[in-house]
Amino acid sequence: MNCSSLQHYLSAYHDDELAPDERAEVEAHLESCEHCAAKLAAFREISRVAAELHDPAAPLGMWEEIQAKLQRERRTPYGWRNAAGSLAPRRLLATAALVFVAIAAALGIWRYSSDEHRQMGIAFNRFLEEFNANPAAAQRILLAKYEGRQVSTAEAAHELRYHPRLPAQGPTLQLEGMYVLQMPCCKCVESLYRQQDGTTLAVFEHDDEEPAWFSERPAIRAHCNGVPAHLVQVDNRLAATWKCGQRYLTLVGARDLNQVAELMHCFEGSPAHSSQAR
Amino acid sequence: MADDRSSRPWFYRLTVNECLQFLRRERRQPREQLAYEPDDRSAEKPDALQHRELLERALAQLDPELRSVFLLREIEGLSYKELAEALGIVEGTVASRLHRARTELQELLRELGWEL
Repeated sequence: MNCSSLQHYLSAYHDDELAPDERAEVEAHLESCEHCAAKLAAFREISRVAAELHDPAAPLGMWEEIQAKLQRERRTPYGWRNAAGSLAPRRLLATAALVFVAIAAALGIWRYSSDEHRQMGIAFNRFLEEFNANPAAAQRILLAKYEGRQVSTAEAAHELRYHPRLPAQGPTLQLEGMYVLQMPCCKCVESLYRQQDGTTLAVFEHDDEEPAWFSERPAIRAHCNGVPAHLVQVDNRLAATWKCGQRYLTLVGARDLNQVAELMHCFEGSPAHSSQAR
Repeated sequence: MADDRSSRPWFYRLTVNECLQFLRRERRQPREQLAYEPDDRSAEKPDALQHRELLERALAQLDPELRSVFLLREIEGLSYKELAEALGIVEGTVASRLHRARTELQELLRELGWEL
């Protein structure tokens, strides 16, 4: 594959719409071609910004002014004015158009929101399905989906404008990596820890509770050390979400309820700038 | 209807056709200027704000057919199969239009001063 033939595949590669063999060919070319890799990076950046586009609310008075302008309108480019000079048919069409736009906008906003949560649930479910057997592969799913990148704790604090929580006390956890994810719900930080038994623990810090992440899985609410938590079974491990300070923490990969309580206690301690992962 | 995925392409096709027809008619009609700005977003980070505004300006200059396929993909998250059904085109055309849309957006954004 050369640069010219790659152009037919680059967008589809970016959208994850290629067959595995085509994908492999594109990747082989991208590894050796800075020009095409830069173009792909530009596509990704455009998509990232496009995902942040939103419809600003109409300012107060705008609709009234549109209505007033329609009423003042005297020109009839399609000859719709009737014999008595009435603009009623045109006004009716204009009103119908406004109603159509309003309904389409309302449907779009509602559907966008529900679809966004559904897609987040699908992506997170794929992450959970992989996590216990192959945490590295699971991590790649999130990084690819949410433009994740590895950061130091200082970089995370700079980007998020808060210090990510790290374990202050309790079980020995070895911090293996910290990542910032551009999720639709918020920009969140994920930390991966190696536990004493060799398994991996993922800890997410996010702005709001995100039940959409576990949409397909049965969940219970329980109090751990007096703190309400949302618990989900993930294969033979547990995930838990609870409010910690001004934000929420979600951990994935706890052995049992006792360990969830222990981990909650150790993350409740103090934020990163005054603690260390061990 | 939102839970019935099979009806989504039909709904998008209806909406996109209506919007494209509206845009074609609009080109032939006189325009009125409205002295309104979108709601204030100045509390947001300058870079994110600037990039979004530049993308909105570039999108406004993009051909409506390219704009619709781009937005249905990026904002609505339609797959190529769903886009093909919604727009009444084959999947290969979806891929080529998306590629054109992104390439032209990249050029427009560079002209607007965003080095991608």
